[in-house]
Amino acid sequence: MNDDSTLTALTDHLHEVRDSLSDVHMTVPASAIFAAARKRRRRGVAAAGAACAAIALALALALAPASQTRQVHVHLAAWSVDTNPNGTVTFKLRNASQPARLRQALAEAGVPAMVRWGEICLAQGRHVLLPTEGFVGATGVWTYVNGRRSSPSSILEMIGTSPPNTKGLNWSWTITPSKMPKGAQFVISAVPVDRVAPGHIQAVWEFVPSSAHVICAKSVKPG
Amino acid sequence: MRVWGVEEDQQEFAEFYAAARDDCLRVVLISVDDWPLAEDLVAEAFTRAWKAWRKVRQHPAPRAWVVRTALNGHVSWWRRHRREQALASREEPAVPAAHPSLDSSLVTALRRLPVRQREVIALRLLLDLDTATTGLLLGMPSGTVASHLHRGLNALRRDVASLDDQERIP
Repeated sequence: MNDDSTLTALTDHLHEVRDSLSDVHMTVPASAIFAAARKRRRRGVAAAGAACAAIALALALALAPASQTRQVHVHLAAWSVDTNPNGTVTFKLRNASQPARLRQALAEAGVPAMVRWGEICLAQGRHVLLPTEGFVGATGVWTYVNGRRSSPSSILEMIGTSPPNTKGLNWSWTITPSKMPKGAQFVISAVPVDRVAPGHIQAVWEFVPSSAHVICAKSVKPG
Repeated sequence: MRVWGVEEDQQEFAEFYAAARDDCLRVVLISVDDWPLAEDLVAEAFTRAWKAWRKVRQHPAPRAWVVRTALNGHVSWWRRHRREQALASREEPAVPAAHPSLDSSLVTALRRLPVRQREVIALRLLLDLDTATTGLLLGMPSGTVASHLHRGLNALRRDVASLDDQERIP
């Protein structure tokens, strides 16, 4: 088959697929688009003001005596974050529930992170993964890469099994925030064990540039 | 003399949005296989289009601009906003994650293509753009568009045949 006939056949087939989606409609009204744009413009103006205030604050802090690292001790059934006297942070994760609170606790401890619960988030392109040697250490727990026990790395995945692993993640790390590269963050996401299909990702931890394009979905196969 | 103002811009964009949003969503949905995500991506792209409307309205293919932006999209605002709405209503949005029409070997094969080939096929075949406009939009010469299309078609033909003999393209 030559390219022209292939093009015609595939075009027809793709048009059929597209046309079969006639019941698919955007539910977002135009007013929401305008509102989102307005909100961002206001944020832009506010950000400019905030930038001036931040510069003033930074100058004040630079001139002031060095303050102690903020102490964080948050313990939930699902996870815990503790700062240690030596500047490290102990982070234990059984599941990622209360993601906003976990993200805030980690941020206050000096560990930038994006946290999602109920969907799996992966940075697009494995080349974006950054090394974690030197500032992440395991604390005697099992971690998994593609279902195999492994040492901490820039990506850890727990894969759903049959029967499901109901013991929770039991992931644990010691992180040294002062040694973390700037402009990078952890992306931590997990789905409840009763919602993960065998062979699909139950939980994942990645260390990527903050600018990396991250896509989330409710069910993701590894690979 | 008539002065083109914000209200006229808003009216013009609203008309463009009403006419183009469903088509853009369908094309993006074919590429991403997740209805809420596709809607987030398209909403984000239209938001950017409105912010740059003076430029986008003069673009030779504004719909294609939206689709390309959506496929490259960053959805944080909409994802966060949608979550806030879901939390406020204490329930997930009543939108199915996938569409039954997308469960075909051709769509599966399309999603396996590299991003550039997928973009070219989406713009050339799903939005019916010509090679020159596709190249203008993607910032590549027409010859490169043709090359991506050729490779994408070959990959699709090969994958479709291996995925499902019953659905082999004639």
